[in-house]
Parts: sequence; C-alpha cells; structure tokens
Amino acid sequence: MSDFDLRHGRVMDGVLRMAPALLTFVLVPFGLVMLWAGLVGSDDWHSGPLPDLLTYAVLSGVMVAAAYFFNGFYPLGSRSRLFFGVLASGMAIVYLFILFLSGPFLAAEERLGVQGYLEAELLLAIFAMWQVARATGHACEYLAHAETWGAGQGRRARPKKPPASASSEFGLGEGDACLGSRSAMRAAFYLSLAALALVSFRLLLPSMGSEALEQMAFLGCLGSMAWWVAILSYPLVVLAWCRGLYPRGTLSRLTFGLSFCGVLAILVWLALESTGLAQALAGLGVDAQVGSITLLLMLVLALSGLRYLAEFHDRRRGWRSGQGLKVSPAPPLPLGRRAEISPRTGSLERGVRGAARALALFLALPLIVVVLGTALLGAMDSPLAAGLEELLGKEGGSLVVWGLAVMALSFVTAFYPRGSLGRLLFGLARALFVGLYLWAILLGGELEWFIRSQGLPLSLGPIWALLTVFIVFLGLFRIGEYADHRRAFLVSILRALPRPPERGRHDALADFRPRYGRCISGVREARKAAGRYWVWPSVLIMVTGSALIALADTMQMGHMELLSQELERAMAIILWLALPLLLLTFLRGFYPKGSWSRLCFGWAAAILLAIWIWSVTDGGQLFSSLVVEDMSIGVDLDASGLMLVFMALEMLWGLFFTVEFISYRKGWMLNGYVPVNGKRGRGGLPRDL
Amino acid sequence: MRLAPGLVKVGILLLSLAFTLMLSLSIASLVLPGNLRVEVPEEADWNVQIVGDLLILETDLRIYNGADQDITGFQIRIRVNDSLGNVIADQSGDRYDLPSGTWTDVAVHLDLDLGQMPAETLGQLTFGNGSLGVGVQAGASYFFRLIHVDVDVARQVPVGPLIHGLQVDTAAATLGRLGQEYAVAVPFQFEAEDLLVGQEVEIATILTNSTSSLGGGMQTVALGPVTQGELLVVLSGDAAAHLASEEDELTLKVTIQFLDARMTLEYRFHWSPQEAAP
Repeated sequence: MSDFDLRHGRVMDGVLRMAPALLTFVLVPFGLVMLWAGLVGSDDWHSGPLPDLLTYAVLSGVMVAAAYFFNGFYPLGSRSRLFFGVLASGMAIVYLFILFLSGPFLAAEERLGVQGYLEAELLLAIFAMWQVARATGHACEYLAHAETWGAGQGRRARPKKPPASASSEFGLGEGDACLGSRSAMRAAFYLSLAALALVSFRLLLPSMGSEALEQMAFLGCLGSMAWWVAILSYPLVVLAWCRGLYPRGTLSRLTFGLSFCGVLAILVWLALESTGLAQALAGLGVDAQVGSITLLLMLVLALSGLRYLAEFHDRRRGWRSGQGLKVSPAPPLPLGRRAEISPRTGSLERGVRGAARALALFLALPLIVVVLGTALLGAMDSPLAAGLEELLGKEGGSLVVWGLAVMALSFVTAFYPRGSLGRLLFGLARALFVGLYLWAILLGGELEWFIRSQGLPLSLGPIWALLTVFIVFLGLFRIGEYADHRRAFLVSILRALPRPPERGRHDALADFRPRYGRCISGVREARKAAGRYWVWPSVLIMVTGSALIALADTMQMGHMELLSQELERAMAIILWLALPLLLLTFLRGFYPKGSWSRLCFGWAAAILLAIWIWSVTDGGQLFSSLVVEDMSIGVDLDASGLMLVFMALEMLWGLFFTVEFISYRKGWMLNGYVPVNGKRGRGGLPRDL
Repeated sequence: MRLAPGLVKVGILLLSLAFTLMLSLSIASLVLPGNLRVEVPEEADWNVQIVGDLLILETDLRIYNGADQDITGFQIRIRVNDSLGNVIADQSGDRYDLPSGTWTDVAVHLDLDLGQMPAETLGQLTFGNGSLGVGVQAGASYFFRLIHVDVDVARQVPVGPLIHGLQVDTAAATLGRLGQEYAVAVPFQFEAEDLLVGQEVEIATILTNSTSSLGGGMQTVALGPVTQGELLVVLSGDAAAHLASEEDELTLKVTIQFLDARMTLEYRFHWSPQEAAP
C-alpha cells in the first residue's frame, strides 16, 4: 500500500495539526492587520490594499493549513507525512515572502503612513528561518520513525550504526536529530517573537503623534535591536539545534550549550548597549538604567551557562558508561538516613536550574520592572509619579535581599532528589522565605502608607494574608511531593522494596484507594482553584470595595451600604465555599485519569463550581443605590440568565471528565493501574512503587 | 476508545472564551461614550394639558442604540409621590425594542388625576410651595435577553405655587348697583402658571364689619397668565345704606378654590363713603 493511501491517515490527528497552523497563518495575521489599521486609524476599508492583503493572507493561510492537515493526517515515519510537512514549510516561506515583499503589503504600509516602520525584510528573514527549522524538524521526525513505519509495512530494516567511540562525541550520528530540531524550533520561535515585539513596538510610535528627532532616534534604536536579533538568530538556531542534538553528558552538548548562552549574552549586549538605547531613551526624557538591565540578563544567562556545566558534571559518568567507555568507579552512594541530606544524592544540574528559575522570577523580573518603572515615572511630571518612583526605589533593596535568599534556598531544594528529607525541609524553608519576600514587598515598605495617602483606604494586611494561601500551597506541594516520591527514594537508597503489583479483584470502588493517587497533581489542581475561586476574587472584591469608598468620598455620593453589603456577602460565600472546593479539586487532581474516583470528583467539583457562580453572584442579581445630592439612583441588575449560561459552561467540565474517563479507562487498567501517559517517578520507576 | 479529551478541553475553553469575549465586546459597545444616546426634548416640547381632572403630560424621547446588539423590552415607568408619601401616579409606558444602529422614538405619557389628589397636597401645589417625588425607572434587556437592567432615578421636584401673586386693591373698592342690588367691587389680580391657563377657579368673598356680615359673593373666573377683574360683594339693602353713609372698619375674606384646593385670605381696610360714591 502506498504511503499516500488515505486509509493510513487519521482525520482527528490532521485536524489537531491544522488548528495551530490555521491560527498562525490565518487568524493571527488577520487580527494583526485589523489591530494595525485600528491603531494607526485607517478609515478606508473598502478600497486600497488592506482588503487585498487580508484576502491574500486568508487564502494562502488556508492552503498552508491544508498542507499541515495532511502532514498530521498521515502517520509518523511515512513519506507522505514528510512530503506534506516539507510542502507546508515551503508554502509558508512563499506565503511570507509574498506577504511581506509584495505590493499589497508595501502599499498598505504607505497608505497607513507607516512606511519604513515595519521592517518587512527583517520579518521575512526571521519567519523564514523559523520555517526552515520546522522543515528540518519534519525531516528529523521522518528519520526517527521511518524504520518503525517501514517495518509495519514489511520493508527491510537498515543496518544498525556501529557503537560510538570516545572520539566521536562531536559526530552528527551520535545525537537525536529530533531533539535537536525541537530545540532549534523553540529557539527560532522565541527569537521570532522577540523580533516581532520590537517591530510591533516601532509600529506604535507613529500613532503617538510627533516625529521629533528624539523619537526618530528611538525608532532607529529599536530597528537596530531587531536587526541584531535577526542576524544573531541564525547562529543561535544552529547552536540550539546542535545543543539539542547531542545527549546530556557529552562534551559536544556542553560546548554548544555554553556557546548558545555566550552568543545570547552577546546579543543582549549588542541589543541593549551598542545600539545606544540608554541615550535614545534619555532623549525621550526616560532615564533608564539600561546597564542594570543588561547586568541582570547577563546574570540569568550566566546561571543558564552554569547549568550546562552542572549537567555535564552530573551526566558525564552515566553517558560514558552507557557508551561502554571506561569510567573510574563512582564513589558509593550513602545509604540509610545519611542519604537524606547527603550532597552525593543531589544533582547540581537540578539545583542550578531551580536557582536560575528563582533568579528570573524573584530577582531579575521584579528588578527590571523596578528599573523601568522608576525610569518611566521619573519622566512624568506629577507628584503621584514622583511618590511611586521613590517607593519603587526603596522596594528595590528589599527585593534583592529576600530574592537572593529565595534563590539560594531554591538551589538547595532542587538539588536534593524528590522524596528525600533534605528536599522537603529546604522546600518548606523556601516556602517560608517566599512568604517573607511577599511580606517585604507588601508590608515591609511604605506601599500601604503610599496607597492610603493617595486616598484609597486599602489595607494590605488582609491581602497579604490571602496571598499566603499560595505560600501554604508551596509548602503543601513539597509535602505532597515527599509523599509521592518517598517510596521511590527509599528504594533507591535500598531502604525499602518496590510496592508489589496489585492482585485480586478490582471493582469500581477500588478506584478510590489512595494508592492510585498523586498528591502533587492534587495540590496543583487545588492551588489553581484556590487562586481562581478564592484568592484573586477576594483581592478583587477588597480593592473594588476600597475604590468604591474612595470614589464615594471624592464625589460626595453619600452612603453605598448596599453595594458594600453585597461585596461583603460575596466575600463570605467565597470563604465558605473555599474549603469544600479545594478539597474536591484536590481529590479530582489526586486520582489518575481513567479512574471512577477522578470522574466522580470531577463532576462534583463541576457542580460545586456552578453553585459557586450562582451563590457568589447572588443568582446574577445586583441591587445598588446611591445618593448624589438630592437625587437617589438605584440600579437593579438581573443577569440570572447569563449566570445560567456560565453555570452550563462550567458544567461542561463534567462532560470533559467523562470523555477523559472513557478515553483513559482501558489504558489505565491494562497498564496495571499506572497512569498511561502520566509522569513516572525518577529513575523510570512507576509512580505507585 | 480515545475521544480526544484534549480536543474537548480546547473546545470548552474556546467556547467559554468566545462567549466571554462576545459578552465583553457587546457590553463595551454599549457603554462606550456616544453609543447610547438619549435626546430629551426641551421643556417647550412637552405637551401638557388638563382634561377634566386629568393632568396629561406627553413627550417623545429619541434613543439611539449604537451597540452591536438590539436592546429589547425598553420601558419607562414614572412614579409620582407627594411629600406625605401618597402615590399620586404610577404608570408604565409601552415596551419598545431598540434595534442596533438606529434612532427610536419612545413616547412618554403621564396622567395625573388631580381629582384623586389629596386636597392638602393639591392646595400646597396650587397655592403654596409644595414638592413632588418624581421617580423615573428605565428598564431594558440586552444580550439575547440574558441581562435585564432597571435604572431608577428619583428626586424631589419643587412644584408651585401654580397660582400666585394675588393682589386685592381694597383702596380702590367702590360701592355700586348690581341690577336690583348693591355691591362692593374690589379690583384684584393674580398670576397662574401655563399649566392652569384656561382652567376655571371659583372665588368666594365675604365682607364683614365688627358686628355683622354685610354681604358676600361667588364668581367663577377663567385663568389666564395674568387674571384680573373685580371681586363683587353683593350687599343687603341695610348694609348698602350703611356703607353709603358711614365710615367703617371692614374685613374682606377672599377664598379661591381650584378643584378641592382652596386658599383664603383676609384683607382689613377702612371704608369711607366718599371714596365709593354709589
């Protein structure tokens, strides 16, 4: 049977592959053109190049999406899949070429008065590189699966490659091309996104009005930054491909990983320092400390580089022994209780990765916000901006202190293996320090005083108390992780035996046994629910209530007791429903897909959430009245129908859990009551051991 | 059996997102400045008339619905209360559908039955400084009738006096013949608001001196913006002879009555016969 025979394909897979392509090549360009026209104020839609551009984008985009449909439709390893994949990438390049360099685009640019603001060649260069990376991915996917597919079709298998030698660490045949291509595609995607963001930012400038010299200088600076991204994206994508290609523990991966970080650091320096961004911003009156931002980004990159060194350190021995090469005998792992906190059981790679994540989240990102915020506020000539600038300047110090502490604890927590006492204790300490970090930001400085001085009677204490729910969940997450991975860890240090496989009759009620559950998934689901249905709604209500009081005072609108009572009532209901909701969502996440227990708790949570919607909104009824001078104004809102629709939408999640149950039930049972595609424990051990 | 739960999940998310987006955009299109406009006519455009005891107020509002969806079941309800809390009128108008992107004329109609109005309230409004509590409630449904909003604006509106500036010129009172009888004629003048122009009021008069009643009169006067005339007090023969020959201190009691509302004023003056020759 030919590879192109339609009987090989699966329509659903094709649709799933086509959907993102349709979004990328039809909906997003359509939305961008509309947004662009809206921003620059085009009032001429029925003539001129814009309709042509849209028609072209839609028609060509549909063709590319169709090619992607067939790419997904045919099975892995088939020539037809490869053909349509490469065809889709090729068509996408032609699509981009015509879209950016053809008449309608340039004419549209001219018509909208933004010629030169969109670097069309640059966009083409970036997106074409992304498509080339995708085409390479299709080829790699074919190479990886062709043999399996061929065997299924009765084709003769190719001879196996000879085993690796120590000198072949840089040989192309040693790596997994699929992984390389995936890594390259990811890098290409993010670089495209960065270039697109820079170009889009340039687009906003003409809508701001004047074409002052300083503004043009800033525009030029943004263009230079985008070009640096475009130029360096080519070596970066190649390096990313090589980095992903080689397995962990090889000198080649270390070299390409470090090179990738190095080139990225060069790109950061070139984009932020050599383009004169600081001077251009100063010309606009924004005195941004670009040097500090560069330094912070360099720190993140340095830590990422360190991660490759740590990875090499951790995996080298394993890779060499896997290749049958000579390795010096490893020092024995500590056994017994010492193993709980012994550094020998830890992984530097994991630790550095955890520290890098903490550095980005708790230091770099907030500090960049502080630097940019103070610069932007400094440019504004208002007492409010001056006050905020001063406040942000003061917050910076405490951010560094507490951020460094959280980063250090993140390193240690991630360093120890899951299920160990060391990871649990340091994880709990980290949660505590994250709480202190949050306290330092909200209550440690003068934020509350500043908010009150601006006339908003908002107390940050209760908000902090609500946010500590997340901190509690951080701690619970560590405890859950400990409970889930404890046996696997004990097995690894020879202090316990794997759990014996289940024997005997297994009925529906047996699905409710805790042994099938995963605390981490449960805590994760409960944390999401806590944020969505408890913490953020409560914070929103508090801020809204304070804002309304402030507004009533400012506008002398008299009493707003009714609305305040409504808000307090909603807060009380949220609080009352929080506990059962968290319990149900925890249990829903705790049990695996395909179990009766997950299905039941999924439905129960969906029903409770529907009740939550109805109760919190008082059935969609809202009555409020206020008195302005001698006039009383009452608003009576009845949105009960709307609430019923939202409840029905919420109940659809019950349907989802039913579909999930039907889909996973058989596989879960056949898999010995181990999640079919669930993550397994470290070291390949099934979760329930 | 694989039913692609991922696809179902994406479907539910897209459905929720699409509905929320549609709702948000639709509400935004309604509340954006200039999208919902109401043209209220000037005061002169109000059609006000009194038919019998009914005070009828009518006007046409023009409402522009610039939102992307129709507003359905638009209705205006007007309530009027007096200062004592009595409901004077509570009327709901017709329901209108306001199609998207069009102007719609909405008729507003209010009937006030003055005959049913408590005399005290009517008296305050006609002759004193009264106030009425006027509440206007506008209700409509939106977004496939899933949202219904009623906005109620209420305020105390000062009304009256509808008849004011009564002047009775007792110094110009004259004694004369009225058919077979004698009567004292006293010039008067008062003003009435446009609302009452064309209506009739009854004016009753009683003339007394320190010992007895000299005579009285009752006349009906059609109201104009400024109403002027003479109050005629019909006298008995003895009283006429007395006033023709002697000076006296007199009291003229004037009662003006409009429907059930009445106002009484007393004027004391010195009567000299030479002032009022028969």
